[in-house]
Amino acid sequence: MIMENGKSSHSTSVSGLDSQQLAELIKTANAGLLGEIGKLIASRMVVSSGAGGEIVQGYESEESLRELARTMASHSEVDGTNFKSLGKETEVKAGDKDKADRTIDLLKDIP
Amino acid sequence: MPNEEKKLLPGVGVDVGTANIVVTRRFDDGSFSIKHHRNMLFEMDISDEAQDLLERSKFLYLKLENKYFIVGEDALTVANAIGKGEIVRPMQNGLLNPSLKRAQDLLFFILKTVLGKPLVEKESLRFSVPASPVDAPIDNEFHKMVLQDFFDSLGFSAKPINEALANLYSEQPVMKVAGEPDRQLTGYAISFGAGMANSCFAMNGMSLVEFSNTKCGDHIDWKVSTISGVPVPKIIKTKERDLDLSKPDQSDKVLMGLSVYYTEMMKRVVKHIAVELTKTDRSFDGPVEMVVCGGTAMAKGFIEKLKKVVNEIELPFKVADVRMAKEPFFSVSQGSCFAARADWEKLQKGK
Repeated sequence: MIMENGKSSHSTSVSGLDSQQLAELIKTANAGLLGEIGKLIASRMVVSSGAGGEIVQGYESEESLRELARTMASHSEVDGTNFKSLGKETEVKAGDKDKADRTIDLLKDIP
Repeated sequence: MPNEEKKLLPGVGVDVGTANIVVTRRFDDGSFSIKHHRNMLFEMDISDEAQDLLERSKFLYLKLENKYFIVGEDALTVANAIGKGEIVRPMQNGLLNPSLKRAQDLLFFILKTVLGKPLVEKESLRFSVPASPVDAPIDNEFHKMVLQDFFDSLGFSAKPINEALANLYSEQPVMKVAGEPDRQLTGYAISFGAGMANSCFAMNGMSLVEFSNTKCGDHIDWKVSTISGVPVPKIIKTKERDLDLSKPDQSDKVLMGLSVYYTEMMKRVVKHIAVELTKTDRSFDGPVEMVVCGGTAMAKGFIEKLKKVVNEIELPFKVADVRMAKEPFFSVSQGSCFAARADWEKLQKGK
């Protein structure tokens, strides 16, 4: 649920952005912009729990925000590199396997 | 069990941290396969000298547009060796770094390379995200969407998980109620990362309160650098090698500064716990365990110091114990792996 200007609504808000501005954001998406968008969204709403619904004030639906997210996610490849895999591999021994299995069972019941 | 006899189970946990990326999978004997990478870069302009250095060294690097980026631990090594230039991070405060151009291209390439391919089609994946902070105008909803789409595009079936909740799943704290068996997955979890400290109170595995505080590990490094004049990469090395919060060294301005800022951060986080949990008229049936993890919590003497702070500040619940995660560096990704495994088993049962 989103609280906007003290009012509760079931919407995600990017108030002040019109469709042309959003299209421009999508076209020129980059990381700096992503951070700025996060700030922009945050500056206009307070998230009280969860998210969902539609975008109010200036843009129509959460789908637009999702479209922007998809564009951001389809990143460019780098121009070159001297490695194929990254990261140190470590093996951590099992602690209490039964307890871990019980935890996984408990988690299956959480919606 | 020898490695060749063990089988990896579908369900992968990814801790997408400001300072580190940790990927955890679980074997069928209950042990874990973990890959971790220090999420930092050292940026260099393309020049003959830079090319020569990279050709002669074994530093891992990537090239993007007109820059070389030395990646991971090598970035810190080079920054300390050169003595100038800055470590940059693809992420800042738990989210993509807005001041780094093409941060998402860099982060996604690094993530993809550490993670590898799904074990099976649409393998369940849980990735950690911070809660929105109580002390900064930052919202993480869009960040979640972008990461979810990114992992889905690699062939996984991805869902976010709050970073502190993941730690709670890994460490399994309990509430102790007189005359009853301990209530499982009930307690308080905090993950002290480089960007933020993430907090969560959960009952029976259900998260009731989640929030984060900014100005955590990286902020401490930067503040100490500012007051001491020592570059951040050296502060990081000193912190990881010499800091002991139980014995602040007053003769060393870096160690003393670190100790002061660590204490300030702990007090700020614990005060916010008191504030956030008294906002509703919630009652607690018994004392709970508080479980702690994260790179910033790995300084020597951290838990003893935190216990002292917790005792000094009035909280709306009783704390049975404050304990460090068994694997503080891996705990978030291990808990994420449990959640991903539960997702996978649920999915198979539903088929």
